[in-house]
This record gives sequence, C-alpha cells and structure tokens, in this order.
Amino acid sequence: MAAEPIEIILLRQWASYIAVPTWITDTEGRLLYYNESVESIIGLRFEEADELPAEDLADRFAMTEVDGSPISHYDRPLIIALTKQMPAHRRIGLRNSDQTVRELEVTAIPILSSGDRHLGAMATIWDPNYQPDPKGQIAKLRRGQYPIEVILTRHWASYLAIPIWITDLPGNLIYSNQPAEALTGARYEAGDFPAAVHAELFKVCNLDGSPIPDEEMPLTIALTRRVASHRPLRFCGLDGTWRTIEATALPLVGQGQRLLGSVAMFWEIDQ
Amino acid sequence: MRITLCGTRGSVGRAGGKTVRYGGDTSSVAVQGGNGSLLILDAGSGIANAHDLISPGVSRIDILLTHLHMDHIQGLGFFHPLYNPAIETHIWGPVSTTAGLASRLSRYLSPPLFPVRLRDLHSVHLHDVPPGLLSVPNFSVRADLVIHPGPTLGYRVEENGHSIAYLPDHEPALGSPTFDETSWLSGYSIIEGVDLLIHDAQYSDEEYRAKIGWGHSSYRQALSLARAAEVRTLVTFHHDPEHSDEELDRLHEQLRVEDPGLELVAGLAGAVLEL
Repeated sequence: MAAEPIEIILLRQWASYIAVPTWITDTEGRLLYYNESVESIIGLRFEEADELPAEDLADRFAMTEVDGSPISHYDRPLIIALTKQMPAHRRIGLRNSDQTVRELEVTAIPILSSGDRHLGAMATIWDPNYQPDPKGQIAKLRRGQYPIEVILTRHWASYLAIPIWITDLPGNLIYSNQPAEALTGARYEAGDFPAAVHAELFKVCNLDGSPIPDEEMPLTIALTRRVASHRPLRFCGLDGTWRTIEATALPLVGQGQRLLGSVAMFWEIDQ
Repeated sequence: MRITLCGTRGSVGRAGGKTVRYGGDTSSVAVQGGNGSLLILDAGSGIANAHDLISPGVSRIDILLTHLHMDHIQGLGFFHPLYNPAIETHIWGPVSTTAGLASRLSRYLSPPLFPVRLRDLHSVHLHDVPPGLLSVPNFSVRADLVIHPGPTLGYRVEENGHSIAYLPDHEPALGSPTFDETSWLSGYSIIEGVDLLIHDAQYSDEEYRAKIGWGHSSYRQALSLARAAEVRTLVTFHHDPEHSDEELDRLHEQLRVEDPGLELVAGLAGAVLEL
C-alpha cells in the first residue's frame, strides 16, 4: 500500500466520521476516497468505485446544471478547486435514476499544505433545503471532551497552509491554525475565544466597503442553516491591514447528524 | 471487577508454537462484576474462552463491540449464548453515518460469510452506540469515538469505584504525535485517570513508521498515552500477528527499563486482572 500524505490520511479519517457527503481526489482529480454519505447518493460503494475507470465514475455521479442541462467540465467545483487552487461553491443538479434532477450545492476546496504542496481537492455536498433539527444540536463544546469529528478537524487543519478556524455551535473559536493566526494577527491560546470577542477584534465589510449583516456572514449561515457558505469580503485583523479574502464556512456535521460547529477557511485574493 | 484477557492478538489469529504465551486468538476481554454479571469487550475468536466464565443461571450478557473489523467480531457466531433462548445477549456497537449496527453486523452474520442469519437469533438484542453513557446493567459504561479507520469506539467501564478503559485499535499519534495537548487527544475523555488501560500496542517504533494511518499504536505510543492520561496500569494488547512471544517480551522489557514508573502489564492470553 502506497503511503498517502498525513493530510490525506487525516482528511479521509475525518470524512469517514462526517455525515456530509465528502469526496477527496488527488491533484489529477483521481478519486482517493468518498464516504458512506456519497455512497447513498450514487448507489455505489467506495470499494467498488475504486475499480471503475474515471469516465464510468463520472457517469455515476450525473452532475448537471440545476435545470438539467449539461454542465461544463470546467464549471465543476472540484475542477475549479484543482485548477485554480481556490475554493468553488455552486448549486448543481444531480440526475437521479428516474431522470429527475435533484438540486444540491457543492463546495470544493483545494488541499494545500505547508511547503507549497498541492495534494488534491475535497468536495462536500449539501442539501440547500435542509431543515436543521434543533434537538440534534449540542451547544458549547467542552475542552477535554471534544468529539472525534472535532479532534480530527483540528488535526488536518493543523497541517494545512490554508487559514482555518474551528468554532463550536454558538460560534466560539475553539481552534485557529498557524496560517489563520498570521492572517488575523491574533494568536490562538488554548481556551475558548468567544464569538462576541472575535466580532469586536476583527473588522469585515463587503468589497465596496458596505457592512455585511451578521446573518449573511458565511460562519453564521453555516451554523444556522447547516449549509456551506462562501463569499468574498474585506477583512482587517489586529495588524490593521485590510485584505480581500474569500471566506468559506462548512458546518461540522458528525455522527448521528449532530451539528457540532463549523470550519471556516480563508483565501487571500490578489486585487 | 475481574478482567480476563480471552483473546489478545490483533488483525488475524496466529496460533502456533511462537505465540503460546501471548496467544493466537483475536481480541476479546471478559469483565465480571461483583454480582456475577458478565460484560464482554469485543468478539474476536477469543470470545470462546469466555464460555467458562458464564455463571450458571445467568440471564443476560452484554457484548460491547469497538468496531466491526473481522478480528473483533469473528467469534460472535461461535458464542454459545447467542443460541440459548434462556440468555439475553445484548450487543452494543458503533453505527456508521448511514447504517445502524443491525445492518452493518448482518453483513457478516449472513450467507455467504456465515450460515446463520443475525435476524434468526431471537435472544440477541442490538444497540446502536452513540458517544456517551450506555444503559448497561451492573456497570457504568461510557463510549467515545476514537481515531481508527471506520467508526470505532473506545469504552470506559466502572464498577464500585474501579475503572478500566478498553481501546484495542487506536492511533492517537495520528496528528498528535507528542500527546502534549490532552484536549485534542483522541480517547482522552475515557482514558483519563483510569485504573487499568487495555490499549493497542501493535507495533515497534520502526514498524509504526512504515504503517502510519493504519489505525494502530506502537508500544511506546501506548505508554506515552497512558502517561499523558495519568493511567495507573497499562496492559499491552492487540499484538501484531507477526510478533512472537520472544519479540513481545523484548519490546515489553525495553519499555519497562526505559519507564519503570508506570505499571506495565504484558497482555498475555488468559491473564486475569483484579480491581
């Protein structure tokens, strides 16, 4: 068995515990793993998919535009993430076996690690009409009792070169990796970082300088609507420098469909 | 509590002249409570060695499965109480994100892998295990998901102020190689301060380096984890099928010399530990 990089190993383990359909590829787009939630969408176990030629696999995952028309290869989120090494988030159609088209959202992110290593991409699939069950939610995560889904998120985040935050359900920061510390200028200390505090410390606005309502922030959308969210914005950290970034927030949905918190990622955009 | 190591081998059974003392049967541990109650941790081929521990007249046995890899369930179909209508057997185990325990376990307990179907075992009761406390009679049992490929649980069992933790397949070093941040340490919540930790110690340091991500720990990592979690006694477990008694003695002695402070117990087949 060829040894995969630790980042891929950790992402794969994480994906196996995550209830969100998740697909991981190498830099050429070759399938490395998809989890059981993807199996239930495409009706093919990963072990069987591993042996299929890429074209057959693409046929199984019958992605279309929302209206059912063909989607260009280059408009597929995973292809964008792989080729541009930037996140991609868009609504797609998925053709069912009865030829009806189901509307879904796909968020793809490139897997970029330290030393400028591009390792592949990860796509997550979301139901835009999902209605969260408040009973299934747990509130503040207690230190020392983090669920395995959160522990694994922290581990892969610690290896990636992408600035990443992990929050609990009320939005408290429970982990910030080193690239995020460099971006925000705020050093993560062991201990919770209340949402209200980081809202005061950092300034954000739209690209035109207009304010962004809290309910439209990617993190808020991820935590309240339980779908991924993605938007460009202007950000000013503790160093007082305004930067243009793209922020992507993924709800962290674990075993038993428990919403545990969110993973927020940031990409600086050249202006 | 009386703990019997019924099967200690990992991955695949390895009976033979070189594995006499550490044993060739795969993972299974029997925990007897003060009132004769019986709890079994995993159902590898070693579970058959628990038959002699069943008290006459017992009406219920609980089996806690950490995960559904073959070396942890292959003995299940050969466990006599499953076919005894006078004994309720309650099997607890992890769910996946899309399937419950019954669906997952019946992949093994059905043809062509096994002649008897799970659904035909009428005295068997299945319980999906979420992280947290389980309603197991006579014991206090807590489960948590841990790092190992596929949904995998570790268990903490307490009775009368004594505690054991059982994590036969666990790779906490993945992503957290120095064990210094206990908040981010897989399994910590169930291992912390436990009297007896039965833990994966499948590899030597050198073997681990070649098998990162396979879901197991080295001897030294098991020891480091026990230290970080302030465990009183560590029992090495899930021995690699390629390791002879001689090799395991050597690994064990090496650690005992390096770290004489921790009580280190070799996971010998049939060993009985009292708390």
